[in-house]
Amino acid sequence: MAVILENVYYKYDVDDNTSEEYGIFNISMKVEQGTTVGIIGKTGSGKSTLMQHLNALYLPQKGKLIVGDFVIDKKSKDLKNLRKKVGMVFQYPEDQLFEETIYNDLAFGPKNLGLSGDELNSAIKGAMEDMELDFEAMKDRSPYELSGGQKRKVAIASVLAMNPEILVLDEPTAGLDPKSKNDLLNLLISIKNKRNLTVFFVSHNMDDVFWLTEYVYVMCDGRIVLEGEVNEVFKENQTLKDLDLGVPFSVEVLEHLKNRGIYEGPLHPMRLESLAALIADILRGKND
Amino acid sequence: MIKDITIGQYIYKDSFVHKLDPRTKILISMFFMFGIFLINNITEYVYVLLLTAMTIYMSQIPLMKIIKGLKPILPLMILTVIMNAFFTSGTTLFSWAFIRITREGLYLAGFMGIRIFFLIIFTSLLTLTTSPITLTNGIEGLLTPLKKFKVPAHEIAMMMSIALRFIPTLIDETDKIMKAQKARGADFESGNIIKKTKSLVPILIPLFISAFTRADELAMAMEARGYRGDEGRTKFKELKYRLADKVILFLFAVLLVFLIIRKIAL
Repeated sequence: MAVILENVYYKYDVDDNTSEEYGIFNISMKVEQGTTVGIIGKTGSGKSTLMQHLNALYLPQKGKLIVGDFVIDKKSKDLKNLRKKVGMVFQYPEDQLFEETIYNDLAFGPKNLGLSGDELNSAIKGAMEDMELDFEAMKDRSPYELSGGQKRKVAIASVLAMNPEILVLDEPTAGLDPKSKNDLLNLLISIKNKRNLTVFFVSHNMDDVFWLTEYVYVMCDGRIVLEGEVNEVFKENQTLKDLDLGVPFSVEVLEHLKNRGIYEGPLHPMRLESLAALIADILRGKND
Repeated sequence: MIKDITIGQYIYKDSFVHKLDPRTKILISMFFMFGIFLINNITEYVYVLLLTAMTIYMSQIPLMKIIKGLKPILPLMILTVIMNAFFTSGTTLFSWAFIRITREGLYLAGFMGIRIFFLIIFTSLLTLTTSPITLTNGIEGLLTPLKKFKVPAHEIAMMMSIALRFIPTLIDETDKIMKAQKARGADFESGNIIKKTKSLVPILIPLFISAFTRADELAMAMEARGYRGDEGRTKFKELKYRLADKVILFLFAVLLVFLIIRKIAL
């Protein structure tokens, strides 16, 4: 499903005409089916408000969203069908678990959408398998007795069980240890490809954004201040720093090398392997 | 949506009423409460009205705020008035089928209405002019003499201030969980009362779990900072009765004693 936003505004305190405090201000974006976009910005920049528009938890006060066949404006009704298509994984999604068994928790979403019987069963099984959770062994266990990383996986599976076509991930790796974090991101990449999802990825970790996404929107004070292909956006080292954001590790390293006069090329973000190769080349060049 | 709830809506102003000792304010509110039920003629209620108006004026709280505060109590007021009007025996003024309205009933209903009205205004003035923390300090101060009778004054006050402190946190938490469940297709608005109540389970369970986790963490943080209850604990802001407190307490006490004696004598 493609997502188009046209001049979307949202203000928290509608009655307050004097205040210029917009949750989000004149946001327009166009996201093609099957792409992964990154949303970055410091705390309070409007990322979460924007994400909550995608499945109409907030309705735009001005402007409209087009999500697949759905057009959402301030008067939209029948949101259930939209919410079926847009899966939201909030920060610390394990806080939403409430059922006695993992199976029942995963069933909550699909049941709300009217699924039952074999359909329900296969939706749950599919979601658990995609999240690498052993269906037979785990379905009757309580979600509360799991480790943090496993709980997170169950919570994300409970969203996947609704078979969404768009997945919104709001800091999905917050608070996880490095291994769980990498495992989860790898898993999310393979799920995205398998299910052909359109993914919105909100994160403060620039390396993760560089790794996962193709296109990046940078937000500040409810506005989009910078957007573009991930390679292009992360070249804007100074702009990002002025917005209290960082750049991927590789760009940081290249900049230091440049300051010391041993590197002259562009500040491309790159994977660590490529960075190592580049530095190795420089060193060899020096040795010659 | 859920953020509109306000509890103990303190408004900061630099007024005479704000500066009074919280114990004074709690005590005179109680005196006022008793006093109001000992009065039963219109002229004296006019005096009460003047007193209330003067207090509001001195507190610098906008009148609209106070009137707004009356709104949620309105159904209770109407119910009390109706109950009193219908179920008091005496000289019948009007009767139809099983309904009988008596002269005494009407009087009583009128007075009850007026009393509740004043009661709400005066007590909301208390919470409007006293911050929750000061208020719990005041309650602790008033309960301290009861420690001799094993009343855990400090613990009660600490529990109250912790509860007040966590109201906004819990509201935020509820909001967040509600959104997460809504995103999973939960529906909190439609259906009959049983269905609606059932739909709250997915909110309440996560909310309770996080509240218990928080309580655990808070207890640990307090212990880590050396909290051992009341013993040996000093105060940053000591409560102290000033001259104004003493005068006002004295006046209210005299007034209440007078009203009680008059009630007994008559």
